Amino acid sequence: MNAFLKTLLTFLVLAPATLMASGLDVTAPVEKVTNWPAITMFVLFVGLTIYITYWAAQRTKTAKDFYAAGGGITGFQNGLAIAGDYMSAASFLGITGLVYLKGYDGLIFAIGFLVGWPIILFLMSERLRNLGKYTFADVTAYRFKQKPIRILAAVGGVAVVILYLIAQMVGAGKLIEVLFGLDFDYAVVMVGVLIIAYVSFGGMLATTWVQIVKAVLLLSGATFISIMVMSEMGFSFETLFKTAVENRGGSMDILYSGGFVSDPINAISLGIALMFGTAGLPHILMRFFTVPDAKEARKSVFFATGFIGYFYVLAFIIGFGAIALVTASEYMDGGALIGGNNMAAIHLSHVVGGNYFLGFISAVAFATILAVVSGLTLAGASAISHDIYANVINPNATEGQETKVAKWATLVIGATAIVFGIGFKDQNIAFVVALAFTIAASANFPVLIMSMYWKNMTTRGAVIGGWLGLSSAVIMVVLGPVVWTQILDMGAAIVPYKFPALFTVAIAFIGIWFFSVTDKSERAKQDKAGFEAQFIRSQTGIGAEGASEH
Amino acid sequence: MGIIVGSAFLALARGQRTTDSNGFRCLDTFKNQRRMILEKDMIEKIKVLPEYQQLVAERTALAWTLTLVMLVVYFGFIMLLAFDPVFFTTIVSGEYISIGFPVGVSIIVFSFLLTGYYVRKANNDFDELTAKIKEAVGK
Repeated sequence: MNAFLKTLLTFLVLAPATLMASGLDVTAPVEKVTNWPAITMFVLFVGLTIYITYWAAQRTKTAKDFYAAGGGITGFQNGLAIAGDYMSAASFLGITGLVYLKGYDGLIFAIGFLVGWPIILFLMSERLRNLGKYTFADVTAYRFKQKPIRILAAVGGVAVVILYLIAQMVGAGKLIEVLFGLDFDYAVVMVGVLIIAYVSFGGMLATTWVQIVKAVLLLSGATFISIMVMSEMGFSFETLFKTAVENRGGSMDILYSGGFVSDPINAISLGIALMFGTAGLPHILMRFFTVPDAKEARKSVFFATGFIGYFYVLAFIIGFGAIALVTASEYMDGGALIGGNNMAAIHLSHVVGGNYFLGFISAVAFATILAVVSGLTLAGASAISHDIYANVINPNATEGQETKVAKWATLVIGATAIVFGIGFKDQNIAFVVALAFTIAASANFPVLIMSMYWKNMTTRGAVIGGWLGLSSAVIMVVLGPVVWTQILDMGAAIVPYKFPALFTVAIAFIGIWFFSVTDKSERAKQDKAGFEAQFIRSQTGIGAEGASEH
Repeated sequence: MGIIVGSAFLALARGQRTTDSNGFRCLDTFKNQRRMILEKDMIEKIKVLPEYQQLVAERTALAWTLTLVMLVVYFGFIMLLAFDPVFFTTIVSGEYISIGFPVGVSIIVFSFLLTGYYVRKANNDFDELTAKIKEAVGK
C-alpha cells in the first residue's frame, strides 16, 4: 500500500507541475486562444470530482466496495451511470457529427446503439445480478473450470478496455487541444492522472458518482442546445429541415438514407456488432453488480434505455441544428468545420449560448471523457486483479491482497492509456472501436449468454469457442478495409466488412456448440451437472451476492 | 440477505462443505465471500414448487417473445433500408419531413416502452412468485 501511495503521489505531484509549465506557453503555438470560460467550468467540474473521490475513498474499505460500490447503488442511479458509460464523447460528438455530415444516416447509427439495451434487459440483466459478484467472468466461469475461462474472459475484457481506451484518449487529447488550447500530450497525461486517482482511491463508488454527475450535465446541456435550436426554428421540424436543406445547396439527401446500409450483409453485420457488442462490454456489465438485487438491476436498464434513447433524439436535433445554424465564417475553415465534423455540437453551443455556454459544453465533453475512461480503467483493473490474480495466480489471496493488486493494475492501465493515447496520436484509429465491439460481440458475449442458457455447454466448448471468436475478430478486422487497405496500404481488403461480427459471432457460437457436444470428458459431466443449481439461482436470486450492510 | 449469510456461516460452523460444483474456492478459503451454494436437497425442493415452474415458464416466454419482437423491429428496419431505399424518400408532412424520421424516433420510443412493459410485468408478477418461492424454502 505504501509503495503504491508513494508512486501515485509522485505521479500526482509531478503531473500538475508539468501542466503548469505547459499552461504558460499554450497561447503561442496553438491556433485557438485559451478558452477561459471553458477552463473555469472545467476546473469546477474537476474540483467536484476530486471531492467525490475523497468522499468515496472514506467509504471504500472492502473489495466489494472497490469493485461494486458495496452493492448499494439504486436502480435509478445505476441507470444514469450506465447511460453515462454509454454516452461517451464518441457518442455525443461522434453521432452529432455524423448527423451533421450525413443527416438521416446518423440516426440509423444511433438506433443501432440503442436496440441492444432491451435485449440486455430481457435476457441478461437479472441473471447477471443473481449470478455475478464483481466481474462478468464470475458469471461465465460459474459452473466451469475456473482457470481457462477466467483467462479467456480477462483477455477478452482487457482487450476491449484497452481498445476503447485508445479511442477515448486520442479523442480526449484532440478535443482538449481544440477546446482549451492545451498541448495534446499534456492533455492526455492530465486525463490519465485524474482517472488513476478516481479509480484507485474512490473505486466503483467514485467512478459511479462521477458518471452520474456527468450524465446529468450532459443530458441538461444537450437538452438546452436542442431547445435553443427548436426555438430558433419556431419549434417546427419543417423549418429546421428546410433551413438545413437550404444550407446544403437545396439537396434533399440529408433527409434520406444515403446508402449507409446499401449492402445487406454489411448492414446486418454492423447491427450484430452494435447489439451483441454492447452486451459484451466489460465496463457496462460490471455495473450490474453495483445494485442490491435483480429488481434494481432490471430497473436500471429501463432508466438507462430511456436516458440513452432521449439523448440520441437530442443528438439528432443537435446535428440538424448544426447544419441549419452553424454557418458563420468564424466556424469554418474552407468548406469544413474548424476541428472537423465532430465539433458540430461544440460550435452549435457557441451559436445558441455564447462563450459561457460553449465553455460549459466543452467542460461537459471533457468530463464525459474522464468519466468513461475511469469506468473502463476500473473494468480493466478488475479483470486483472479479480479474474487473473485472485482466481488464477493466487486463489488463496486475501481480500487485502486482491484490492492492492487492483490498485496497482489501475496504475498500470492508466499509464498504458497515457502511452497509447500519445502513441496513437496521429494514427488512423477508426478501426479500434470497430475492433472493440467485434471482440466484445464475438468473445465475451457468446460465452456469457451460452453459459447462462445452454445446459450442455462444457469448459472445453466455452474455451475453444471463445478463443475462436476472439482470434477471428482480430484477424478479420486486420484483413478488413480500415486496417488492410487504409493503414497497411495492401490494396483491396480481403474481408470487405468494417464490422465482421456476423461471421465472427457465428464462429464463436458454432465453436462453443461443436466442442461442447463432442466433449466426453469427466469435466464435461461436472459442467452439465452444475447447470441446474446455476439456473435456479439465476431465476430466484437465492444464494446471490447481497449488498454491503454498512 | 442477512439470513442467507447467516445460514452460510451456520453451515460452516457445522462443518458442512460449502464448495461449489467445482470444489472451487469458497467460504472457507475466502471468508468474506458470501457465495452460498444450493445444496442438493434445496434444488430438489425448489424444482417441484408450482410457483417456481410458473416463474420459469412465464419469464422465459415473455423474455424470448420481447427479444424476438425487438430483433424483428430492428432488423426489419435495416432490411427495409437495404432493400427498399426509395421508401425512405416518401414525404409524410409538409415538404421536408420524410418518413424516416417518424419511423426512427418510433423505434427509439418503442424500445423504451418495451423495457417499461417488461419491468412492470416483472415487478408485479415475477417478484411476487420469487417471494413465494423464498418463503417456501425458508430463505
